[in-house]
Amino acid sequence: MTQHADSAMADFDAIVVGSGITGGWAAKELTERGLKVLLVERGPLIEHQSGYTNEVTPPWDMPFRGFGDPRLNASDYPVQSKGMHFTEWSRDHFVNDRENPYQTTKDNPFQWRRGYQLGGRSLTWGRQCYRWSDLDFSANAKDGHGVDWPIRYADLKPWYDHVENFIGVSGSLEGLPQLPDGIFQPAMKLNVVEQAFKDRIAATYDDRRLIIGRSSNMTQDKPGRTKCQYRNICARGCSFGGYFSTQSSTLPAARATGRLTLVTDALVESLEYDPARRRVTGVRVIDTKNRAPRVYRSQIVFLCAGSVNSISLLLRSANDAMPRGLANSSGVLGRYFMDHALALSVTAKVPGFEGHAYFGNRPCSLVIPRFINVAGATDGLLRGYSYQGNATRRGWADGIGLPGMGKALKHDVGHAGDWTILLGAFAECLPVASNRVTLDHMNRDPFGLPQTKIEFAYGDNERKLLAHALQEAKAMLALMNAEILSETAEPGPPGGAVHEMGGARMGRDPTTSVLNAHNQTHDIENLFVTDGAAMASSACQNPSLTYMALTARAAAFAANQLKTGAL
Amino acid sequence: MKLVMTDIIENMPMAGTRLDRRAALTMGLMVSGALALVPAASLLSGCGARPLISGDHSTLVLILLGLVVPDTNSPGAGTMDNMAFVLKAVNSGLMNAPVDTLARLEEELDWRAGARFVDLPPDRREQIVVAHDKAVFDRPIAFPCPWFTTKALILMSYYTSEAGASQELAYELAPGRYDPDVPVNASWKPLVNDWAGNSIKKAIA
Repeated sequence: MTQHADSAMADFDAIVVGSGITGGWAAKELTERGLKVLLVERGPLIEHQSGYTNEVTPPWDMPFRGFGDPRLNASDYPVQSKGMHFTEWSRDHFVNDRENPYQTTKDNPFQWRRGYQLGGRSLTWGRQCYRWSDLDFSANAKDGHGVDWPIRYADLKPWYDHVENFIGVSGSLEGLPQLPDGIFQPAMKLNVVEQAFKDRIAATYDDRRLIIGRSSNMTQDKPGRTKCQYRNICARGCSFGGYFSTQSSTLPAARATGRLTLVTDALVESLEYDPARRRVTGVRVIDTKNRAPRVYRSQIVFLCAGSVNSISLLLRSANDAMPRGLANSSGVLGRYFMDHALALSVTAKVPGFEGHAYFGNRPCSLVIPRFINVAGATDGLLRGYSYQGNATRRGWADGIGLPGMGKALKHDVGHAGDWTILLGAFAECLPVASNRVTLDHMNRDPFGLPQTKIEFAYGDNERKLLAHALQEAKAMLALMNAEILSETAEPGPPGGAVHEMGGARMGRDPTTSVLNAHNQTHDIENLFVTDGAAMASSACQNPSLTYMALTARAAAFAANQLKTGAL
Repeated sequence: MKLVMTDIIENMPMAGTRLDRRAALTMGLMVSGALALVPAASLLSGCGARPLISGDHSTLVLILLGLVVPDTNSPGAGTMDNMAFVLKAVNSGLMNAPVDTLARLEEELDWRAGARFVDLPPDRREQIVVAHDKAVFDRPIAFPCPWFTTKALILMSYYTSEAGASQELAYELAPGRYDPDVPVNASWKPLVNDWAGNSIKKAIA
């Protein structure tokens, strides 16, 4: 394991487990509030800029021209390589599946996408940033699926402001109650086809609109960071700091306080617990390079390892006092696990814009926010869905499958191809007890730890939502006289949205939830979980901005409690 | 390694031009010399049973690269780098390409030519490939289809090569801006690295 600060052997005020989106935020907020913090990352160090090995490598200098080694992908990356951000360039930002096994079910294999390195999935995330509204925070209470969130939008609004101000979010002000506006940098632009699509939707429908996505890809510089350069190769790492990642944003802020100690290559095996005081006292780690054990101690612990790993860590930390897992007196730890049901509803060819194209690679989608069950109710459907997608002009890849040879073929392939529109639907996933994360003690990982097992299946409501989304997508694309090239109402494999949520849900009642309104475990007051595991419902928006806001809010609470002696 | 075939056969005719028997033999010798850089097994065709690995088909691939995407105002696809990519792609099953793709294609071309395809003069090779292309694309594609797959890999090699990406089309690592509506005119070139627009969304094998 590698220590990256001077205060090597000291105990800490706080330990943060995981250095991804929420871990970076916890480290930043806690250090800036005066706490001496240890940030523990299981993977290797990847420094901003110098660590982005393939960032600027052209395809002709890649071993497989960017398409990737199919044999290596099949043997070592069978799950990761199916993700949209996995490429030959970005492969080192994803785990090796062979070396990091987990269990799932044959009928519904869960695609667990992971990045075990400094920065975690903050390097490879989709960068879409959406506030949740009271439509989302009150949904469980309204229809009875899941437990009521212990917070509402008003509790989180100042923290959304805080996060957006810091990370830089580009977007447009829309005044939509179901998708609250935030503090935005100027929006990225819709291209000519997307704008025409927007106009035709606006002329036809009163209940919906097409907008540009709200993205952590910046349109204005921030200190130490340069605005997005429209490369759309974010998952390789961005030396400009054009999008939010731990490396570009929160880690420099935490380091600047002088109160951060960073340890990489250190897997947290379990939490150390003192049953007499009912407190966690530290973390037991395994050096992933030489397997040496070590214990770090602190006043408080923040779990930010990603939903599945934070749950697994709590389960692995079971002891005589808490035999079902740490902070699991409710028995719901690991249950009510969710991921958006994602279907690539429609791709369609759009005529009439042959004389138009665009320049640059915009790394941000168009969005059609949720419009069902907003003002009124849609029969037979709970919650909602939203679309993300884009209009692009096909290029040389359209030449594959063309007849012909030689100069004529070269001429044809070298010119602009068809315009196509893609609309993918993200449907809200209801929290159900049978979707869960457990430990499989019969199968061990290379460190001797029980493997994580994920059991997950989409339900009828998710499928009905996606069927509705397909119908509506086709109706909207008819406004463009589009030719449907492909369509589906089937959700992709579970995990494909990479929006794992729940498993250590927030709630008002300690008998039915793991965390309180401050992401503090009901059972252990100095233990916090602020990643996606905390979510009590899934909404249909991308959740990462909410994770960040919850983390910042919980860190402020914890630091204040510690300073006042309440913790 | 950046050994470009055009360095070796610069100014020598490839596809679309006439080449006499002597020139063809000369070129063949020079190509063979260049191919000393590829595994020796690739030059041992005829030893025992016909191996069904693409490493035996370097010459075939090099010929086809130049025929499918010839030199024009910009360089064509006939380079050692592109040849190496196509061979590697088939050998490793890129995009599910069957490992015997090139062996089967060679058989098809030999059958159509009534002779060993790679030994034909260049103008005859071109006639054979044009006829084969027409025969394949005149009917619905049924996979496995060695010609469809090989041709797809040739296009993939070319438009990810330095010449194809940055001379035939435009390669901008950092565009720096997004222009949402630009006219398509004679001077406009698509970005070869439009990662959203150029993803391959169809089966090649």
